[in-house]
Amino acid sequence: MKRYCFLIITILLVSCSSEFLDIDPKGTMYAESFYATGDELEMAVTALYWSFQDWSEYSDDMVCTAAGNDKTSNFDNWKEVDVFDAESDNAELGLNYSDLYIMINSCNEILENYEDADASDAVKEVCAAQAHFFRAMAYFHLVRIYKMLPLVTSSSDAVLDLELTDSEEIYDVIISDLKIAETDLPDNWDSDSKRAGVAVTNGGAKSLLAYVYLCEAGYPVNKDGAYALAAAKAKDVIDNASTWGYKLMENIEDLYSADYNYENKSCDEVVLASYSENGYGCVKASMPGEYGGWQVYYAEINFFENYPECARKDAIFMSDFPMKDGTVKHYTELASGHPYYKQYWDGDDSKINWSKIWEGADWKNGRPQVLLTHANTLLVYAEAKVMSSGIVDATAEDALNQVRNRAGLPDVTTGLDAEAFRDSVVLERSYEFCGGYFTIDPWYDLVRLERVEKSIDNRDESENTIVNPITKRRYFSPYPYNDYAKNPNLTWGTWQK
Amino acid sequence: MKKNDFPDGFRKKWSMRKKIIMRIKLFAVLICFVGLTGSFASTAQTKLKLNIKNTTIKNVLNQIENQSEYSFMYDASKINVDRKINLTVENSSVEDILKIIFPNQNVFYRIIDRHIIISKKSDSESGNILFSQQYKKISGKVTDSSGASIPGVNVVLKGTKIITITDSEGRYSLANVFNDATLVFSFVGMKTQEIAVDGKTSVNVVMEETTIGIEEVIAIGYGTAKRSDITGSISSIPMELSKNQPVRGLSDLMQGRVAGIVQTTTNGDISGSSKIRIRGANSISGNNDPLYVVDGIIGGSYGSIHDVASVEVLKDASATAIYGERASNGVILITTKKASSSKPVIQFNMNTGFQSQNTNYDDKMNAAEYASVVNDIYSSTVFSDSEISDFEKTGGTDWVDMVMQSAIVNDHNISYSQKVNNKTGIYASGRYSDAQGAMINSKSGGDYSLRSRIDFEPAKNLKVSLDVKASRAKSKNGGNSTGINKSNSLFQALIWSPTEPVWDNEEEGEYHQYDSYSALWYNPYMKAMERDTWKISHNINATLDVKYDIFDFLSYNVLGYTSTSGGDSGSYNNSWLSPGDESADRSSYDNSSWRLINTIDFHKTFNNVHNVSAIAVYESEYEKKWSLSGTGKDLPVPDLSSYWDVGLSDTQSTSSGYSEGSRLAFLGRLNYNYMSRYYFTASYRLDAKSGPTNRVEENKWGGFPSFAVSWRLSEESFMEDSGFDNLKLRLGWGKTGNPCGWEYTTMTEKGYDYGIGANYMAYIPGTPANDNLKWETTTQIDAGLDVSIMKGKLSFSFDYYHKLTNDLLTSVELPMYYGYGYTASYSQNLGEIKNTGYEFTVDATPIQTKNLVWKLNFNISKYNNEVKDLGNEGAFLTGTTGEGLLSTKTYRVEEGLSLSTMWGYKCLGIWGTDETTEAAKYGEQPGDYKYEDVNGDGVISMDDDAQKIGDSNPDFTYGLSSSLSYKNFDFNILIQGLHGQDVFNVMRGVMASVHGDARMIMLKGPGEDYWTESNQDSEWPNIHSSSNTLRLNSTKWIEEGSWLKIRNIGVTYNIPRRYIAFADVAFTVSGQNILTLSKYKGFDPEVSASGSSDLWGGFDFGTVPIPKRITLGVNVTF
Repeated sequence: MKRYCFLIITILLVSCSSEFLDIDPKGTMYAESFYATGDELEMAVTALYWSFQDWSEYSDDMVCTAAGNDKTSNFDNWKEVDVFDAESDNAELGLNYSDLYIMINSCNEILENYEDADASDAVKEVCAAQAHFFRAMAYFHLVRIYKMLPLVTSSSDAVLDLELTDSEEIYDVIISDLKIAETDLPDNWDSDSKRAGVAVTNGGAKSLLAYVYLCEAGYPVNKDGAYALAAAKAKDVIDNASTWGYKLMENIEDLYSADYNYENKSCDEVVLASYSENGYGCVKASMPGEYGGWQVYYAEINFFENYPECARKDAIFMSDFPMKDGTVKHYTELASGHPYYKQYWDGDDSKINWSKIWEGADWKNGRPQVLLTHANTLLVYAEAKVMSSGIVDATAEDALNQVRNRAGLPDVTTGLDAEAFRDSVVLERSYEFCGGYFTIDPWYDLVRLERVEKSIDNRDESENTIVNPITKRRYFSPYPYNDYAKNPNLTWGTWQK
Repeated sequence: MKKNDFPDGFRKKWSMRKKIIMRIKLFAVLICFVGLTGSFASTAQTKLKLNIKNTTIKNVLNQIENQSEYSFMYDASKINVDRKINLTVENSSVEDILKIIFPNQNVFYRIIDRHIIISKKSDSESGNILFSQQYKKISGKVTDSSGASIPGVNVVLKGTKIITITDSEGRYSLANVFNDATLVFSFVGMKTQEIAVDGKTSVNVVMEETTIGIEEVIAIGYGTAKRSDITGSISSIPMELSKNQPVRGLSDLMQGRVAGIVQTTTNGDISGSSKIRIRGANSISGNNDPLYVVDGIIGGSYGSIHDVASVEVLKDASATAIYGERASNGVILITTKKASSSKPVIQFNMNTGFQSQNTNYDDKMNAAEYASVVNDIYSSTVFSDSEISDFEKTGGTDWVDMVMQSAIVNDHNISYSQKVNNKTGIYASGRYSDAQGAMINSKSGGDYSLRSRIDFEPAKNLKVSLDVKASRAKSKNGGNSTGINKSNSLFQALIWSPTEPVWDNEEEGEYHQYDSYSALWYNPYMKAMERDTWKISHNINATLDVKYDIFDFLSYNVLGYTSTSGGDSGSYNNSWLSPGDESADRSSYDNSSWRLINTIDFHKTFNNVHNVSAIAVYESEYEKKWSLSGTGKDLPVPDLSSYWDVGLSDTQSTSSGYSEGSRLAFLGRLNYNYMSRYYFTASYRLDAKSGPTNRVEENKWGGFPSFAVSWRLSEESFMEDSGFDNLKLRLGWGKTGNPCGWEYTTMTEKGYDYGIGANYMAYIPGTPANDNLKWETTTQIDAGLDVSIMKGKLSFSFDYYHKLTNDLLTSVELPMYYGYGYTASYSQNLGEIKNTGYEFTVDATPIQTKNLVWKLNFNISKYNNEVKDLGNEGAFLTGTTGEGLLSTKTYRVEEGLSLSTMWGYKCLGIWGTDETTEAAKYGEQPGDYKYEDVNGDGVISMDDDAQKIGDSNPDFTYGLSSSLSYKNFDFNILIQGLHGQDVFNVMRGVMASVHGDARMIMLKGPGEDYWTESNQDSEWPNIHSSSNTLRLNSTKWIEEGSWLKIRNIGVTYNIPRRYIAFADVAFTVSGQNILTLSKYKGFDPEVSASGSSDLWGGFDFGTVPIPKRITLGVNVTF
């Protein structure tokens, strides 16, 4: 009998369960089981805002705009871009690419997993909508910098030999994402104290979508019908501006003033910005060394000199610099010899005393980094409306004039043909959005209208000498070496025959 | 025959003379005697010279013993040895002398080996020596297998102290013997036999010579086996060879004793650990340490090293595959002691060692020489002539001597062992040890371990044992000058100017803090003295083992084990080390685990020829780990709070950790042999480890098979008279694994504040994982030959192996579009490493007689390691830059190279004046270092001019250990050597150069005998050159690192019982690491800052050398 007891014991011990081997790591969050609850989705979405802020802090991720007319630089990686000589090892181009793909990966994981989460449909929907928005925003930046991209919309898409996808298809992804976002995002976040005034709304999605259409209408996609879509979408925002409180600030200074723009606040004109209480703003990026600035970029001399005198010019530029010793230096007397963009210098944490600028400037100023303003929507409408219909109508003129008048300029000349009107709008865009807008920088207008070659004619002779002849290839940046080395499909300019 | 087997009365009557002649020179020669052509039976025809007047026969016999190797045995009550005689002989044999001494007497003598037994012829008639009472008399004759009688055989009545010895004709008789008594016959070199009397009055015995070794039972995975039945490659540590060695840890026991193991001590610090590699390194990113199994428990603890009874090393896959996924690096099986004798044995073992360091760096300049070189380099009078002559008198500061110490090392052990009756055995032991470190202000201990093991048999066929072990260890300030840290004391001591003082104000305790000329870091003495770190670890574990014999051929065994271990540590950076930024850390951890092993064991012989044994095992295990640590900075009362209360600080941080893991395994093994001639073994283990739920299904369980065959030719009838006791061919194949790491994609926390200052938790996908990840698999083939001749007194073993590790874990660096940033990578199973090698072992017992036993073990082995495939991962540099000391890492992993290949520039010497133009191409001048421009592009660059400059893998390794017991003396020696490996002597490079971290030259050659136009043959560059480029990653600093060390040499004197009646007392004097033969120019070619890494090795970064030690030991056994 005893013998059988032992055999029974053995059998009991052998009866193992495979659950014994499936151990969830406690104290460690891991992707395979994350996104399971509403709280976890919420933390994943919060990370999108972190990612957005991380991307936009400092000014590294603006480097691709250095080739534009409005700014120039002597900072290595910026200068490479400025003179059309960027290589795959350009660290700041690489950083921008890396930051945006981190954001895309975070969005993809949410979008792949949110449906199975234990949360209400409403919560899931709004979480997904935010992920769609940020994925669209990230791809929209990338597609305009690289034209063709490794397209990853699910973690399983990422493979070592991924082929490049061309702009048209990427725009489809962007537009499809933004359509979901404009439908599912709320008008405002007033019911969520931390997000109120900060998080992306359906108004932001619509505003971005209008601009996306405008860009899609131009080079390299040249999409038929996109102008009309852009005009319609912009009109939708303009007509319903009160829903979101969008309006132009009466005084251009207020658009930039720290009184209206700090921490989780920005003025009514701002449609999309990243916020952080103690974030690393780009205050010092365009500040002369004489004030302790990094002088990463500054205004191109001819651009500044040709800029029409108006309140806007005073709000944006600094050309005379009060010095510690009581003197005032003209920009030509500065070591860098250039006027500076000062519109973001003022910050809440480091309030600028304009007569003692050297005292207050800090690189951490808690200032929102602005991507889109309502002025952009007005100018998108003006351009798209005219270009889609071929007729310069009053609504288009009115939209442009709203921006001009607020800047301190008179109405646009009437009776222009469509092309000339468009050029006026584009010129206005360059004046309105020069010097540090991530999304709507005048550089992108040069690309979509294929005006990069001509743009260099306007450069002051003293500026950096252009190194390479400008071809269509130079409209776009080389892929970071890190990726090109691992996946040779990422060869720069493969689309050029 | 143990001396204490004799009853005292008997000992007094019989005089067993011992020679106490220490012919140390002779033994030194014998010990080192490797060739085996000498004689095994020493019946030298000694010729004697005696001139004796009026002396007793007893004294004459004494003198003969002194002059010869003979010893006399006789019964003093029967032989009149007090008779006085006169005797003058010259050049006479012992036999001749005996004839003279015992003329016409009825005295018989017989010479057996070196024993001369003298007896009266009538003895054989009345053999009873001890007792007059007659119960039943039993008598008989003892012969050897050829029929010759053997005198001097011990005949013991089992279970009593009644004993007799066979007479000159091999006869014995014993009275007072009961019918059911058992007689035990024993004689040196013969198999002990037990024979039941069974009512007989006459018992004749044929003694058989023992064959050493092959009948021995050794541990194998999940069981034991006779050595002759082993089909795999298994080495046993020859424990008797280290009997009197003051062993402090397993590494002392193992080093130099097993072929196929490369074992080095990575530094001489108290934290110095041993690096053991069995048959080469298999893995780049995984672990290459062998798997330790203690009394059947994987990862068990053996407690005190003195409780280790035997150690077996499983080397080939047919032996290790039974341990499955963790067995790729070989398995070390440790079996601990248990009670074996019914007599209580209490043993005290006390060892105290005196340790010292050679602090003289051969060609380091003294203060006066150094001051002159400073003047030369600066081309000005930094030191005046009078200062220099003062330095000549005082000698300046010997920094190395200041930071190292002579130390005392203790190890005391007590054990008690007894089989109380046939059913209960008790073994208990306790150990205390401590050690002062080689570096000042460092020590380990007191370390304690306690153990208690009880074996009992509660019912028939049921055996139970409970083994409980507890231990605790402490150390203080370990790790100063190990690893890569430029501020380490020995590194700094070698580059601090000897012209700098230790103290600014010794009375006030103010250290001198800055070196004006050379070093940049801390005063090394200050660093060593002010350092304040400590560690404590403890472990308690218990094993319950229950075995039930269901039938005589089938048993069931369940073994349960539980262990809890933990530790605490603290460190404090005071104001000397961290002025104004004092900080303190305090941390602790706690691990617990359990194991459950169920085994069914079957063994049966069918038809007397088919021997079958099989096991089936189900095993499960689980472990859980916790950790907690806290750091305090900005300490308002630093010395008071320190690590005692890190909470007394203005800035604090805490962290904690948790992990758990489990495993399941099913395994089985079948052994079959036909008439002990043809052997077949197969084993299979199905292994599973806990992991992510989403891991690929087919990778959850791994199967690890093995097969082996062997053929004992010596058992074949055609080999009957061949003289081989054992001749066996072995062939084995098997697969083993090396586990992979964690396979979850972890989320990384990124707090975000939405611009309102409150931190909201946010998570982004952090480190990517590969769901397809699995273990590395090593496939090994082993072919071996075992030979044993001369009754096992000489045996050889040879093995060849071929190991291929595939599914090697290599790293895939990911493009950024995966969304994990710049540096993301994950592991994948793609790559291959090959190891091949040979091993050769000789075990010999050249002499085995009553008074003289000489044993030796020699082993030599060689391995070749080669990276065959790195998957998608390109070749990469690895190792260290030594905190920026070197411009690049200096080891390379590349397909076609072995792991730990040194990589850098080839230094071609110094540019001469006749090469001025050529040198100018490189921006250099005559007197500068010249490096090989491999591609001839006129630029020296890592991309195309770096090459293999060295290899830290040895060409071959060897060990020789020998023990010689002569009467009451035991001598033993252990020699270990590694040959043909290179050492990257970075320390010397820094000392010989003007460098950012050591701004002055410290060595005579480069300081005084440097290149000038009139000294163009110098190997040292012109110190006044401004164009010289120093490349520390060059052949200039690669040295041949071959070494031979006397690991241990010792002599033990066992005090005879006649001096101390109550106990066996032995004194041992021994030396450890007392001699190193090497051409290496640094302190010690064995140590390396790389620790246990296999990607780089042989890297001297001012690493603590291994100290010499003299140990005094006393062993008392009751």
